[in-house]
Amino acid sequence: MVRITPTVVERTNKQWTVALGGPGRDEAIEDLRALLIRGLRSALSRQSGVSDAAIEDFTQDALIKILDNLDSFRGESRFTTWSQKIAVRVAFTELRRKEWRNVSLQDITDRYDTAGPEPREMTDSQPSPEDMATRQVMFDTVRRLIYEELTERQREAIVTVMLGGMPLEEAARRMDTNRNALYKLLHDARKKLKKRLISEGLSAQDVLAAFGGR
Amino acid sequence: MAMLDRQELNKIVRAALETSDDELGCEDCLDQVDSFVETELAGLDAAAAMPLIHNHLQKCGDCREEFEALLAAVRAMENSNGNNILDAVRRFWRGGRNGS
Repeated sequence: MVRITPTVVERTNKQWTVALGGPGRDEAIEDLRALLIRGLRSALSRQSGVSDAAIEDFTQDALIKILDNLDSFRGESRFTTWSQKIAVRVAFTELRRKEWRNVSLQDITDRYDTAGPEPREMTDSQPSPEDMATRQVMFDTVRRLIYEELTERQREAIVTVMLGGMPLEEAARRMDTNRNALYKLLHDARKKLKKRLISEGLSAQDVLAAFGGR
Repeated sequence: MAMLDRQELNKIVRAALETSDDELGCEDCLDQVDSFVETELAGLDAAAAMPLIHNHLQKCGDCREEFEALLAAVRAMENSNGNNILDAVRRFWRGGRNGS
């Protein structure tokens, strides 16, 4: 399908903010809409099932946010880049919500047990008996540290986001928090684990050697 | 319910060992990712200029996905409008930002 892309008047940051708040508002909004649609088409080209109508909806929602937040634009990037950042955020929030709408936290946490006695060994190679014993000690230690050091909520977050692959934003929504706070929760969990691994005398080299390649 | 296997423990351990004390959160990243994108598109070393943003993008899948999408979007706007992004980035650096 051939799309006709309208020509958009170039504006400086100041011209954009003045136009969007003044008499030239309608024309500026239409110009911004055209730019955002063009950008989103490219940004979402790798996402499956995103229709033109969806892109127009994302753009409309983004325009409302942009106009509501004009005062927070500090001019540290071009106005169009800043606006596009908001449009991308709006689009991904909705796409993630849609993609994960049928998956609950419990669906994911039920797949993993972070409190059981011992991990199962994978037989992907044939290590020596000494290596097997070292690995098993390491597995037991790491598993114990995860259980001892982390709160239930931190374990739930690790399982959901790091192992289950749920986007932070979606996991945060289900955990009644926000994406930033959930990142901080996971960051604290990783810091605690790192500290304990080190205090148990396990160097990064030891642990990674026992766990093998990525 | 299955117990954590080696690959899963491996993932957790690696993430823990790669943790820095001073990681930025998603809000700080969102705040600055547009400048990061413009720096990158200007052919400058955005990772060196804004190391904490770079570090966050390595660790946060949501922010990385949005960064990549924004990069593609701005590139598409750039190509169609013929703007000179270098001018914008020079203005940014003249403004005295040190990136982190």
